[in-house]
Amino acid sequence: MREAKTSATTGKAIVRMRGLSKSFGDNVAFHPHDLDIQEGEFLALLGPSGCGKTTLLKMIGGFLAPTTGTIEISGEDVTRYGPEKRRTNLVFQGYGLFPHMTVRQNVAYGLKLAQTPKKQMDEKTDRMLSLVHLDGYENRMPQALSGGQAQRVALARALVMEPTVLLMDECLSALDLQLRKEMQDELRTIHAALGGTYVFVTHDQNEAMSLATRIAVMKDGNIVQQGSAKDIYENPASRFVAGFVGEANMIKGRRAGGQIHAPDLQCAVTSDGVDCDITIVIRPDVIEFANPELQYDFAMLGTVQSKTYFGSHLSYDVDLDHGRTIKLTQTLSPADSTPEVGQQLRIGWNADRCKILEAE
Amino acid sequence: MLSPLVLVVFFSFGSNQNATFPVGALTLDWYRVLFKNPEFWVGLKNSLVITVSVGVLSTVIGTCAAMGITKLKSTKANTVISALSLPIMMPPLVLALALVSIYSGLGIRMGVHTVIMSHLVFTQPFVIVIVNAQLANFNFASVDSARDLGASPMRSFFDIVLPNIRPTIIGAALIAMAISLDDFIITFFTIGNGMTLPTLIWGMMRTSLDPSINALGTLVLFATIGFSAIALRITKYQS
Repeated sequence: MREAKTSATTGKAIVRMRGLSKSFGDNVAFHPHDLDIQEGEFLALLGPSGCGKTTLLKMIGGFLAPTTGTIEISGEDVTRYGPEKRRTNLVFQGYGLFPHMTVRQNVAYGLKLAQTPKKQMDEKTDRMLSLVHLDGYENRMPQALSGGQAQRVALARALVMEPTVLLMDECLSALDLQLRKEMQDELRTIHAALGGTYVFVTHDQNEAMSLATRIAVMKDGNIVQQGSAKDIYENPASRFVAGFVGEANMIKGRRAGGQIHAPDLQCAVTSDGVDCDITIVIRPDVIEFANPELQYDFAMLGTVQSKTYFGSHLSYDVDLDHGRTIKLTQTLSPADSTPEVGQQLRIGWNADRCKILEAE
Repeated sequence: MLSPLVLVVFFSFGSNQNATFPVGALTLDWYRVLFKNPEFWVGLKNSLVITVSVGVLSTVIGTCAAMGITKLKSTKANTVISALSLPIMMPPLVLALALVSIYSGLGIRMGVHTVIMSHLVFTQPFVIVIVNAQLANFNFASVDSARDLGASPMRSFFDIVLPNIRPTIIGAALIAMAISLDDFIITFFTIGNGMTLPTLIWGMMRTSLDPSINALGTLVLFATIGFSAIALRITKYQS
């Protein structure tokens, strides 16, 4: 997992949302929230489909009027403004290129509307086209572009407007994996080169982790957790976040009298807190095949059920006695012994590497 | 099935006074007679005014309606389209009677303007259906993009939507014009004392069987075929 690059944020909120919500009839798409977006940050709105992330993005862009609350951009209340009056630009999921205009005309359209002098318009357009590596494609029609190229045109068309906030709606999801990775690298480079505040919507946790300086995880119209990729991965606030961001093993148990009880647990574990049902969240990479010479806070007995080779690491499914399966990954080094399928063994991990969630 | 049409054209160029064989020598006399008839010019003028007005108005209104309908959910859109298409499913005679009773009920004097309004009722469904079908394939994300880049709703329509559906709109206008030019029944009921080319033909048939009727019929025939052919060509070219 790559750590997101932290670009310099000035700590000034460029977008300020207060009590913002959106309902469609009785259906609440986005519950009331306060949310600030800092200048220079690269914010990911991450969540499964239908979680309200696109609704939030469209409210920022002016495509949906909020049911309650206000939005300020650069200190100005823009709640009642349409998209044409906001200094935000949105890269749409389907790109929304103008089919009857060339690549150059597409990119220059916004500048033309703003009545930019011809010379300046040409310069800006050229610079943007070369930034997204589309020099030589100026006179192509959108139908004659590949998915990746169309994506770049859409990006250039938004960026050329020098938006206060650039909004992106799942704009990489239509690309194949290879191209998506390339575009992610390019987006990161462009953000570093041009600066600016970016907000993007995605359901892909890898994309959010590789691009964003801050991630807001959303579920059912709520922002359930915000933080850096590392925060969220290591300290998920709920079972949902743990399962949605990265892979996680979740073992249900109970805490009583400062002791954790869970089936299959081979040793007594102490834990502070009130008595309640708990979930132990353990990332696959923190579990080890127990080394007999080491002490582990948590230990369990299981049987290797499957073993998959991924080049840099191996992934195992280990069956426990009570019919549950634990996933664990083992980074390969030549000295490691690799257990075989069917082998019975002990697995273990330490308390500081896992997260104990109280029942929701 | 086409033979009566062919006969009309044929007789219009023959010197024989009665519409019978042999048609006689090839002549343009009947066209000369027709062009000397002042009623022809009145009818032609009215027909032109009506056809052009109906073409323009039904296209503007129909396109607006189609734009509105595409914003609806598909079940609702189908209901609306079916409701708007009722006038073309009704027998023209019933529609004509209904229109006449509305006009007289409202005390509207009948003339060219009432014909235009009446024609709009049954030409618009065609425009709506044709434009709506084209808009179904249109990617409205490009309109949102235009708005996002600073275009007003009006500007985004003229810059983005219109250039992409222009051939369809022209095709729809021509079809509306062809239907309007052809119409007899509804025109006859709603024109009052005036006349158009189709009602003129009817009037001439009652008084005389002069082959100049055939000449007029031929003109109307070619105008209608012309509109439809251009419309078909344009809409086909589009897809």
